[in-house]
Amino acid sequence: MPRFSEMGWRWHLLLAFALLLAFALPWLGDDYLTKLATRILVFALAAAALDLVLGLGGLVSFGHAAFLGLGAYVVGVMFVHDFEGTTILGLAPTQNVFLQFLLAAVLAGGFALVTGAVCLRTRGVAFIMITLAFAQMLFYFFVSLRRYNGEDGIALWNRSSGGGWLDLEDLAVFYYFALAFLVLFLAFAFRLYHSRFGRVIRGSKDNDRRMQALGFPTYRYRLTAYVLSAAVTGVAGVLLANATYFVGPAYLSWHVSGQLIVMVVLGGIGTLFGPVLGAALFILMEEFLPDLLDLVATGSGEYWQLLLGPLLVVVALFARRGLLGVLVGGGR
Amino acid sequence: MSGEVLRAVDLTKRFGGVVACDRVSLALRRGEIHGLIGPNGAGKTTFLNLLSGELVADSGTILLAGTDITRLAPHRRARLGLARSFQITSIFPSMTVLENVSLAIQAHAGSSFRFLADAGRDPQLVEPARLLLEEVGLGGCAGLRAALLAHGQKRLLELAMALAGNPELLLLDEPLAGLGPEEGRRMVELLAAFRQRTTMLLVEHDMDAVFTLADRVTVLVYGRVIASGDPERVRSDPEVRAAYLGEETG
Repeated sequence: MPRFSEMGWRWHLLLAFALLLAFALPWLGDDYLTKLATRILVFALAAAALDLVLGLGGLVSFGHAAFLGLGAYVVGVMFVHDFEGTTILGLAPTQNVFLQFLLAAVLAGGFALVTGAVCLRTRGVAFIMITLAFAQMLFYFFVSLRRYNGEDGIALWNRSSGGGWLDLEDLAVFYYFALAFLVLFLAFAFRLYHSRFGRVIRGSKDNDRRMQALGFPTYRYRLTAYVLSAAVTGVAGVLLANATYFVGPAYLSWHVSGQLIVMVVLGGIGTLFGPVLGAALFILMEEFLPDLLDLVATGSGEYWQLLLGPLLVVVALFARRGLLGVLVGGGR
Repeated sequence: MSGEVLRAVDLTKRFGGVVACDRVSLALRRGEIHGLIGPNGAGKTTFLNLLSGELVADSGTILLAGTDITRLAPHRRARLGLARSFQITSIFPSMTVLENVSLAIQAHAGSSFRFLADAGRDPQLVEPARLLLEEVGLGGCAGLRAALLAHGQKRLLELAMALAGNPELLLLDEPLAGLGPEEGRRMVELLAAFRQRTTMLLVEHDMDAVFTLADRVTVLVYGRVIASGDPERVRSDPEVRAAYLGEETG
């Protein structure tokens, strides 16, 4: 991961192209494309946030869907109470998207703080399994939560309010809104990578024993990274609910955690920008591959993930820094 | 007590039925290089691990400059001025040489909960790191990925990292392991040059190096101290010769 000033021309070209495309897309005026791109932005945010712990910290969290789901449920629960005119825990519900962001970040971050304090005492496979276990716990909690329609979930009739000056119902406005958050987070994450904190996280991935012998209480730093990553994923959850007009326990299922990991690996693990490409590639494949396959052989479309598997194997074997590595070099 | 950097009293560590360290006591004077020798399996590395905190002693106490550190976590001990190198080179392979040393400096240079400022442009980290690299002779490799260094260079890098933050006490676990004769000589010269700056506990199999550098020597056999003191006296101690040096010099 080079600093911006140290990036080669391929990096600059890629970033310029991506930014241009991202800014220009709503101008095409195609609602379907704008919606699709919005979904990409939301998952890109979640995947980039996951890369903070997965790529930089070497912590394979298999439970990030929980944080995404928590963020989404903030929107859903607020919608239900606002619709009914009831209070929640004695407080008036809010549909203000900024307050919802704050709440999602606090809830997801808080859940990460409590569960991470336990998870981070383990390593390797144990860490993977225990993050999965906590996420599944939350999944079943929402499945059995009758008050909010259990496994049927909540269909939203409207998006969150933009605080009076942003009309999030407008496709383009919502798209740019999501884009702004993604760009902001990436800018932050790029800086974090080279900061003291980023170095501690990366050092702890490289050689945790060495870090402790040098005097770093690495547990504390890893937990902070985990909470930070979860909070941002929670924010992505708020965007996801608004993008789809729906909130359900499916958002918390382990499939989603797996998909986020796949996006990170496809795009380039530990590169922060790679997961954005990974999210785009994954969602585009999910969207178009079935139809393409149906053209080749009718009925084969539903098996599109059969192609995803080999692709992941190829990436794992030949492009360890994923799609980003292929595009800008340094793929090793 | 001001002349004493470390005092270990009756440190004992068992692994199942094996007593790796059996009531080992050792006191290190400020500024000395103390050789710790013994045949393979004598418990030297276990003893270092007890001191650095990677292992916790079953019984006994460790005082670092008068502070009881017996049960402190490794990072707390490091903060108190206890640094170490590892038998198997332990660096950060994915970072550059300069970043490796900067990170070691960072451990002693204020909070690491800084999320935005570029650590690579922080003179508080970079300048002392460059200085250390010059001193160990790696100034020319600063920008190289550490994984690309030759083995001997990695050992030097590890030494530079261990010296970052001016430790009170430096535990060296076979710093000459795997080095060629020329590199070994360089390492001995460097350690001699750093003698004024810190106290060293030197575990090493290379007897020439130990007897060149050490002010005092302690011999560990089967987890027990069988001799300790002036190198010449230790060398001529009949028990040491029988148990250890005899088989080494053949």
